[in-house]
Amino acid sequence: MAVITKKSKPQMSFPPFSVFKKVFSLWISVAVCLSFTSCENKQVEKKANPVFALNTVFEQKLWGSDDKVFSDNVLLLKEYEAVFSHTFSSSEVYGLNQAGEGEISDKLKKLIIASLKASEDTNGAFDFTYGQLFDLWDFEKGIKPTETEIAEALSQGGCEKPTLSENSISLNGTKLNFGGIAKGAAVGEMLKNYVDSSVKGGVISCSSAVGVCGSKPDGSLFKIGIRHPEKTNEHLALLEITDCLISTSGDYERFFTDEDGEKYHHIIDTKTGYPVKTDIRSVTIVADITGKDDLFTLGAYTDALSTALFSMGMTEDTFRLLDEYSMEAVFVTDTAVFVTDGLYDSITVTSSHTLKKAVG
Amino acid sequence: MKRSLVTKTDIIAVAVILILCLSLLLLPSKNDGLTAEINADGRIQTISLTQVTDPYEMTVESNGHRLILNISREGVEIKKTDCEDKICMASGKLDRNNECAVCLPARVIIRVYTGENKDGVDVLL
Repeated sequence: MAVITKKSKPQMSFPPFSVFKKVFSLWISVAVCLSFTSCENKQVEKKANPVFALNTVFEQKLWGSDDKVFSDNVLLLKEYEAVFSHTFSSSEVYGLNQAGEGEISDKLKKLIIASLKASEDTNGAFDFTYGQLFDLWDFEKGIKPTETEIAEALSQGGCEKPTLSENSISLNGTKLNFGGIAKGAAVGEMLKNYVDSSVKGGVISCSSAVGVCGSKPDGSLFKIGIRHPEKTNEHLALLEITDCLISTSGDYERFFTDEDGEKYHHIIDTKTGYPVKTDIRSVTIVADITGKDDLFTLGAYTDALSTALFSMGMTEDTFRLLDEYSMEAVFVTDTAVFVTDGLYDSITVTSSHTLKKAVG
Repeated sequence: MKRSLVTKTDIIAVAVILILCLSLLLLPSKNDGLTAEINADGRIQTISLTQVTDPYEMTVESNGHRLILNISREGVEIKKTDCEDKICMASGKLDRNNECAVCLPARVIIRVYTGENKDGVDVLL
């Protein structure tokens, strides 16, 4: 408005020009004010530094809240790494696997209880007690274990073996591996922190699990791309959703190809000891968080079920499990995308795959 | 003496306002900044470089090789690689939209792009 007060030098310009000047400066002022207000109304997207934990990278972004929740979640990941990691030699699980028995923390107990339920419910299609078997396969170095090694490791696992009472556990020869469940639990608990700190919208993601809540500043839903199994930096379908936890298991995530050209992916069948043989390339599980309080366990279940249903395929048991857990699923094969009823209206196929309804 | 229609102060005032408006227009696009996408043999990781306050080194292990990257607000640079050909290091610092460096032995593709999203997708799972 300072320009308008220039009236103090009237002798310098002709009356028509001063009118023009007033109008002009008024418009400029209005424009400047408007651009300021539009900046204030725009909810700024806040992104946290990625955190490496549990053999993956966690990323966070949110709108419409202070970002204190970021540092809470970073601390949470550090804690989970120190409890659940089976590779980190100072972690609680690592120590327990070495000792074979002992007292455990409440956090570990909670994940063990969820893991046991998922293992039993899926009839071992997800099983976290085959630590020795999972350790044999090295997908980074491309090491294929021998048949003898696999046979021995198979005899050591089994979710019926560990005995848990109160906070003490005896592994009875098994070794625990939370690679197929801890990431989902972590994303779940992090999303719970988002919901509790009432963010307007937020996304938490790691390599195989995502949590979303609220909406984007323009009110739209989140777009979650399901990776194309062949062209892995492209999506083959988009889910437009919010307020849910999502987990994916796919044969393209970690794998190696041996000298004969045979591909070995990271989802190991605990019945055979070899990668699961299936036509399915990936399974995505979606769980609604509305009205749910224990997102740690819900996230754990979505993660475990994505592994289990990858092995089980689209069978009667699969649809019974989805029903029991009130979850939706997307199954990807080489040519088609199969979607359960509840997600059918939220999905758009962006590749040459055919969209089909997944029915039992 | 001829009276000037536009005084020096007018020009300065208009210039200041114009610069202010222009800078306001340019501000959001500047905030968008660069995003780096590191694809290590199919494992994809994206890093929003605008969030990087202090430059840091990142090790990428892929296909039996090890790359050391320098991640900073300005861009991504491959500092070291243990592969034989070292072609990727010739790409220099990736600091412009769609610049790309590829290490074939390690099967690593590094790309930087402006904006948060390529096609409005929040996460690729």
